[in-house]
Amino acid sequence: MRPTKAAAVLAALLASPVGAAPLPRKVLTLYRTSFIPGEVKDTFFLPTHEQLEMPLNWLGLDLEHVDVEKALPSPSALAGVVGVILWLPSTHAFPDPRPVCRWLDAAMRSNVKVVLFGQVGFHRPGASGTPDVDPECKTMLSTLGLSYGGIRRFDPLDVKVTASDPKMMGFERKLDLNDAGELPMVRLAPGATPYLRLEFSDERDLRAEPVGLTPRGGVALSPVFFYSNDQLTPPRYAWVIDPFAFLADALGLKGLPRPDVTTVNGRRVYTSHIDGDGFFNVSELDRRKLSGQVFIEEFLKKRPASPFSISLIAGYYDLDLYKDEASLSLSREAMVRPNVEPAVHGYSHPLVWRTRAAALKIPRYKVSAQMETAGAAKVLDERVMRTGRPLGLYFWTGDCLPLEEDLKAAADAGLLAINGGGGRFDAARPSYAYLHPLSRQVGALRQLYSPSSNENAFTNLWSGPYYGYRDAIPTFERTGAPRRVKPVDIYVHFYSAEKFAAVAALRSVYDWAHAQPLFPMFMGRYAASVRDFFALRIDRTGPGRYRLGGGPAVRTLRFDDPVGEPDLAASKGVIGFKRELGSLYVHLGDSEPRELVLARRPPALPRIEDANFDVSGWEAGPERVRFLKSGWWKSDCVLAGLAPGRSYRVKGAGLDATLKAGADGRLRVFFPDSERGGRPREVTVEALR
Amino acid sequence: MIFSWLQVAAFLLAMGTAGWLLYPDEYMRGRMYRDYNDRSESVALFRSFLAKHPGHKGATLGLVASLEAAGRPDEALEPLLTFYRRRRGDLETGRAALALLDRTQQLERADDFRWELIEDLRVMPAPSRRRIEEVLFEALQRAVAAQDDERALKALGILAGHSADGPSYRDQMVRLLLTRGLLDRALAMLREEVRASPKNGDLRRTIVRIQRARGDVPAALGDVAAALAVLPFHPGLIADRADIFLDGKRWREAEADLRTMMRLEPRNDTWPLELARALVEGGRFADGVAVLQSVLQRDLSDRKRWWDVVYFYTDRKMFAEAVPHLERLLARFPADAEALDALVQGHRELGRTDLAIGLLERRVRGVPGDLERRRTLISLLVEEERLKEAADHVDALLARSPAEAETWLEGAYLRESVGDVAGAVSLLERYLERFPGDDKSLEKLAALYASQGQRKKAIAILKGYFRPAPPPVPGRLP
Repeated sequence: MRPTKAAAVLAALLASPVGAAPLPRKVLTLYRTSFIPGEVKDTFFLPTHEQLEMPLNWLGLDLEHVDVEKALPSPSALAGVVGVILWLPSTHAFPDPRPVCRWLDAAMRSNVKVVLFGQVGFHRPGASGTPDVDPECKTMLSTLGLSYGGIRRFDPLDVKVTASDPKMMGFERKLDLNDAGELPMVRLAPGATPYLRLEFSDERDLRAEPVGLTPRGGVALSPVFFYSNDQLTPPRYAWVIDPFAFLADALGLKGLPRPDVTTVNGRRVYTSHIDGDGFFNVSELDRRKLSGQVFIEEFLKKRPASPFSISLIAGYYDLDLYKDEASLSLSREAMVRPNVEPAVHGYSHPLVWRTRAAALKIPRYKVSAQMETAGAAKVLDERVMRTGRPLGLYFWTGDCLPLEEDLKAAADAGLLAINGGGGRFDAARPSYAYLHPLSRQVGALRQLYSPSSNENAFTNLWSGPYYGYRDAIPTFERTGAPRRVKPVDIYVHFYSAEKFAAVAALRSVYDWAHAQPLFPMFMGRYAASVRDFFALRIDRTGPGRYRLGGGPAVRTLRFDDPVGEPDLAASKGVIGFKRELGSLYVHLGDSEPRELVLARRPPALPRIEDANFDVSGWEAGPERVRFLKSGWWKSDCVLAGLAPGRSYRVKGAGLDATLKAGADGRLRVFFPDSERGGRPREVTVEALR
Repeated sequence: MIFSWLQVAAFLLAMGTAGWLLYPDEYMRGRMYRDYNDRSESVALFRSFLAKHPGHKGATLGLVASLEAAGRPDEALEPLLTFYRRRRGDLETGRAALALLDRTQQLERADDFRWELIEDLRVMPAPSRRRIEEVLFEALQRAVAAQDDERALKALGILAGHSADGPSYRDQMVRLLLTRGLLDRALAMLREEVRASPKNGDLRRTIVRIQRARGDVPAALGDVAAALAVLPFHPGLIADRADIFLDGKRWREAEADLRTMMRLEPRNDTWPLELARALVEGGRFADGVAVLQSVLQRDLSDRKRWWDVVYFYTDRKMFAEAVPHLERLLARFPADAEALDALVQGHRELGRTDLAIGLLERRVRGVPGDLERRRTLISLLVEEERLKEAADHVDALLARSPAEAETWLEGAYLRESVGDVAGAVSLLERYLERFPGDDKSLEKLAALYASQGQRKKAIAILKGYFRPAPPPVPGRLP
């Protein structure tokens, strides 16, 4: 067989869905314990977790922290790894950098990208003066595509910015050489793309390119890529580079699908979850009432069409003060409601998991992982819920930094556990750098983070201003556009109902959220989608063709580059798509098979563009659409791909109306109510003659 | 009657007076109600009291606290600011206003008010230095964070005059002015400081640098001369003047200053290097080289001195002169891989690739684990069309470093080029065992099989597409 024919056969075979290559989604980051600031040596405090992991998650990636002091992964473990990131805090980051350099070099030669942030931390230990880097590290840097001449103090008179890519630099803060006293003398090899170039007038041909892209990855070096000022309270951070664009370029992710847990059916996700602290506090709104009762009256009862995920602290019910029937009855009233998803908030509410310090002093009890998880769920079910069905949702307590044994205990008890994380993005914290990612790695396990911070972050740990939670709204706004990085999650404790100002603030936040076009759901469902984000497998089965395996709770794939449109006829388990915020959001069903085919100009078929309810049983033809809907709030949706100007009878879920599609083939439908989380109802949309 | 009407009347009058005196006024009642319900009562009482007693600090702060507790903080600002403006410079109230502005996320307004407070504090009769400094420091940090240069400079200017760390703030101010290119302002500031501290060499040197940045060489030289009149033999100033002369290609004048620097800083090799440059550029090549050699001879064990000589030649593309030095350097420091690389490059520049190859061959024989040099050797051999030798070295490289995907492919290409198809096939097979899923290589292997007449094997490879997908090429995205 001649090579050309072989190539043709191969090309045809490549187009077949039978052959498939999984898209790698893992990124490794190397660290040492000494990189972690402060006394508590938890990767939670690393900048790769606090600042970098959220953009990586947004790009569909899973970041794994690797302690180089334990062992570097073997080369075979790099299958499925997109890249390796290092954010080094100093020029002498390793006692012996050579093994790390050799490993990085081998990784690059196996087509794994390497991205350096911070310092070029491979200086030989004990050496002073620059540059003093071992040959293995010079080789590694050369493989990465740069040469390194050490650190240079510079005079502001002598240095000029001679090239700066406006799309990459100045993202949240303009580059300011006044922030810097020293520069890393990095020069990129031919074929690389410098995003920033500085030249020195006191030495001809001397230049530094501390931010740029190379064929093997990229560099974004201190002090020009990120601003940090701890002289202010809160400390001020700002990205000088665009971390989303930079990581996408450096890791070679252009055009790839990104699983997205912020959105379902084209609408931003909305949740509200309440931690059980303060349920039995007396409320100043009415000193005859407890905060729990006030919360029920002011929020749960007044918003019956909205989902709430409510947790209680099980240990209360082992204390004499709360064993009475009135307390139990009130607790049950909060937890057993159609619009409430019950959850557990620990037994004694550990405040600091590491030291086992707890909020409730329960006689003869010492904090144990088993009791705080499975035990607490059992107590709540037996005393409060009395359904005989074990509770399935758990909200971490206190500092929300559980240990691996705690996570294991929750998992063994069948509890889906979430909390911690969050973040703010507002006038006082005007940067993406204050936002936490989707999860935290704890040994071999993963802690799921809640999307938002609770009122403690807005009220100085509940010492005032008690109206502070109203400032959650700017965070919700900024995390929704121009880039949707978080859902909306209204997250408070019951003690917010203790204070007048807090209730007013919380009411304003609920009012704001309920006026937005969101997709309401219980927190348990959101937690499942975050869990599935990491479990999801995406196989590329051909150009513009993807097959999803597992992770059914992930309901959206997002594309941020031009990729065409979903071919709904050729795809499976795809019910629609929407272009918004410069991205393409593809709406997925929750059962397999789920296969997406993209095409340049696929045939138009009716589809969901956006909806604030779940859609199942989707059947769509040119003349008729049928689906089952279930959801919360007042339902509405936009159907697209219909015949422009044609009339349709929309029937079901309390509606029977004739509506006309617009000139763009879109039909906006408002339903009179919703299922309030109840059984799905059928809707048909039929073209009228 | 026990008491007379007059006594009863007096008693009642006394009770009424006592009651009037003791009954709590609106301010006291406002305080009593400040934890009640929605605070509307305490708010009304405080407002009513303040209408009659507008300068009452307690009532103002009480009203603010009540409004905040009621969840109406935005209404609290005006009474607080109104009170502050009646009592300008009252730091406690000023700080309370700042805190309220921060709590209500009105950060720009907070910055504006902070400056209002600072100006008020500055004109206070005997302001506490530390208290102003705290507010100023905060203003500075906020201005820097917001990249508000004018406010940052203003804060720095005041801090420079107020603070015990004044010199440090002055330095920061100069730096900011220089970074922003505000050279005239920086100069004016520095001249004023030199008048106050005429023997401060660093200040004078900064002035010289600024003059040079402005392109005013005569002014720069004038400032150096004036500085040296006060600080004769100041090494920094003499070095600056030497640099000005070197920049201006005034070699003779530079030579004098550089020789002075060699006397003042005999251990600093920069000066003989610069002197050598000046001599060479001035047409006195032999003199320049002699200076360098004399430095080298002073300490042959100092590798850096060897490299100074080598770079001197290579920077001028004088490879014929550089190579013998590199050979001697390498003889003295045989482990210096950079020297080996430089010597290889030197030979190549002189067209002596065979010598370059020989050096590398000796190197990899002696240090088989030197993968970098072996790679360089392979490149040179390929350049020289010595493909069989290159292929043998690729084999050696792979034996030590089999994780490099590209090396396998290069080896296969070389084997095929020298007609060793079997060798190429073997390499590709072993490559694909390590890195399956590489479509192009699979295609190549199929073609090689086909060229060898092994049709069945070629077909088997193609059929392999029908088998379940193997693990991907590590890290490679399709």
